[in-house]
Amino acid sequence: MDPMIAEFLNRFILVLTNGFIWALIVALVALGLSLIFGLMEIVNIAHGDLYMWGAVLAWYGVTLTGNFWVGVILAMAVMGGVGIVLERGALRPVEGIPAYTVVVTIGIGYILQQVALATFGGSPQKMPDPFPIVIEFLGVRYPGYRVFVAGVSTLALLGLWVFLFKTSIGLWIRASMQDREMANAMGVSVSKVYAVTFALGAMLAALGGALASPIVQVFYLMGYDLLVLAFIIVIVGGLGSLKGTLVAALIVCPLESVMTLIVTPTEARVISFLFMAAVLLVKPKGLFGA
Amino acid sequence: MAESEPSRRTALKVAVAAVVCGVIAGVGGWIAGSSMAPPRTITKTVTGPGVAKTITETVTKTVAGPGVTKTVTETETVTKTVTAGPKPSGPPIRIGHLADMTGALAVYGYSNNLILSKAIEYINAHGGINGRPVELVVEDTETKVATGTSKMRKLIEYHKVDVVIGSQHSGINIACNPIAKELKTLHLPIGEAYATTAQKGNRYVIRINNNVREQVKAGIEDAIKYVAKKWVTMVVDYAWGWSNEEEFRRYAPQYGGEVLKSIRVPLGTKDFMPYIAQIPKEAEGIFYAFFFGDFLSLIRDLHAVRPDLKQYCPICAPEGIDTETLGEAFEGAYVLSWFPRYLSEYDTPFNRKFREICGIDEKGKEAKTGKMLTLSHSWALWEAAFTLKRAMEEIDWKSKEDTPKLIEVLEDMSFKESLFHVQGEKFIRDVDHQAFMRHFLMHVENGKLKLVKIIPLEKSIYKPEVDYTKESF
Repeated sequence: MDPMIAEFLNRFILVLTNGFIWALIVALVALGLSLIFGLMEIVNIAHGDLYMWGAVLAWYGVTLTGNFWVGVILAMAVMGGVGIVLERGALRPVEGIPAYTVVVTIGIGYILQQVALATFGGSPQKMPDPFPIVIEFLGVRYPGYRVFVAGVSTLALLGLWVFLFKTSIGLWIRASMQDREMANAMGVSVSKVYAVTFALGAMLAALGGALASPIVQVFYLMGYDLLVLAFIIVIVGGLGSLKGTLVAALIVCPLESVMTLIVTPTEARVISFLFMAAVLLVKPKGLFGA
Repeated sequence: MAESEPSRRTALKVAVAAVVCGVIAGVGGWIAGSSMAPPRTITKTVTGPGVAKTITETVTKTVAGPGVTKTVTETETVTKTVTAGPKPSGPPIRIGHLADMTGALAVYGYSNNLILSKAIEYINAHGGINGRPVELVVEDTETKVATGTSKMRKLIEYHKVDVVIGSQHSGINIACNPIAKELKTLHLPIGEAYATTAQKGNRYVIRINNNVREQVKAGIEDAIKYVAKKWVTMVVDYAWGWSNEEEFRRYAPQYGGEVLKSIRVPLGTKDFMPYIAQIPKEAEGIFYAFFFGDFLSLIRDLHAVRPDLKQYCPICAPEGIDTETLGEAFEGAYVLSWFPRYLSEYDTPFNRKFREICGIDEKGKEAKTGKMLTLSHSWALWEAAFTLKRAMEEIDWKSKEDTPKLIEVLEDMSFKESLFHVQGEKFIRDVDHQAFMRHFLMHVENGKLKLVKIIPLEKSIYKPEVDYTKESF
């Protein structure tokens, strides 16, 4: 094979793999965002900061115990609790009025950031590599922990599917998303469902953060970048559609990644925005929007 | 009228009170160690700017003992000056520090401010400047250009400082240079972008630390000799990164190097993999300019995907990071430093004394807190303070009206290696107000930055492109 083509293929495999791995992590975060919006009409601007706290707590867990799983579980448990407190304490009065929720969640986001700045500090930290091997495939070297992260993300997505489609709480959540009044009339405690959903969304964000933490730098402003991408995905997929979110993640992230072969990564992000605009022109409610 | 006699009840009260007093005093005396020794309270107050330490001892003596019903309190104040050197007096000379205490460069801000305050403390303990005390006024730039410029004005117009040192951020430096000229105040920026003392400078701006052009020029010959011939450059996508890329591309071909590709990466990029994928296969070495998290992300993924690439970078990359924690990803890298962080690699009596005064341990950490300092940059703050002291004393600085004289004396000033110029000999070039100095090529061995060689200051000198001496004040 022509060495030029071989090198291009190598790079193509590298960026495509990378794109899919990011798609799985971002899907976790975006699904949380989508669930929360679909059920409570909360536009959660603080979602990126929940993701950031997931990474920060995972970092603490790993630094203190040396065990990656402790970090992941700590991040999810704490952020689940924080999710319940936020939903009950700050968002309950404004649920269903998206404009108000934007204002409230911006405030929550700032508080989360500043608390991280005050406790975790302002300098980025690097998580020790939980799986320090290199995988070689078709002449392409790839960090083993990224493949590991992709595996864990896939398991988590399956777990989420089982939770939503095979358990009674999942059924209540879906029922409340479809028709809140009717679900309430049928005896579903919508109030509890709200709390559980917000906590679930926060836990998914935290899991995303914990899984991303070995790849990215743990930093108190790390949520911004991901929030933008998560919103692109949720909007492309169709607001509130879980299937749409997953599909959109699996399209947008690999697309953006492959584009970096031709343009700079910054321009690739612009292409993601253009893609979003194109989708919205053709399907104004997103790919799977109701 | 006859005096009424105290009643029996009153007498009893007095007697009981006396006994109670006696018991309390007795127990108090016993607790103090001896029933005869009076308890002493000593309050020490340290006053005076810096170290002309005046210790005021207030000794309170309480005379009491068992059976003594009277308590006598004597207070004696002893004031003594405990250090040598005359105490500075008169109106203070005010030095402003435009410090990046929070934001992206907060680690630098902390370290720089620590070292500068130690220098000021030292100066005050040794007679101040022209016998006058020096006062340090610190304003935080938040590592933002807009905040930095308004704080520059605040330092000069509100705090009435005589001179401004800092910030570390090149963008803030360049934005503050015109303000220095407008408000006729000497500005010693600490950032490293070339333009600060070239197209973007003016007569009120003097840089006593090195810039990117000097750094790249000083290191390039050895980089090509020790590291690689075929290069890829990867820099953070803003002024400082571009400056590194441009200078490297300018000088590499002159010493037989070749730059195959230059890649720019936005600040705070979450994933370096797409950028690493762009590195040509035939590249042997990578020259990169990133700091903190970006640097950490890069080296980890680089190690996984392209472990064959040899690394060369300015000290800014691992600055503020304990390299012993980085493991294999950074092992074997070459680093151009402006001041070795390990005492063992630059063990001069001046360096020992400097570290002792500032409380820095042998690894370049603050001894008290264990915090990693940014010593390869913070030395400049130390030297800035002593440069000002020398220049102000030479012209017998009276007030800010003397700024033109101060600038004139600084133009073409040279310094021998000393406690006050601990980084090494250097000189300020008159035309572009840029200082030139030695550099240190370091190699990462077992996580430690080991000295390979000291690069003499001549290597860093380039042709000036401006002449500020023609500018009027």
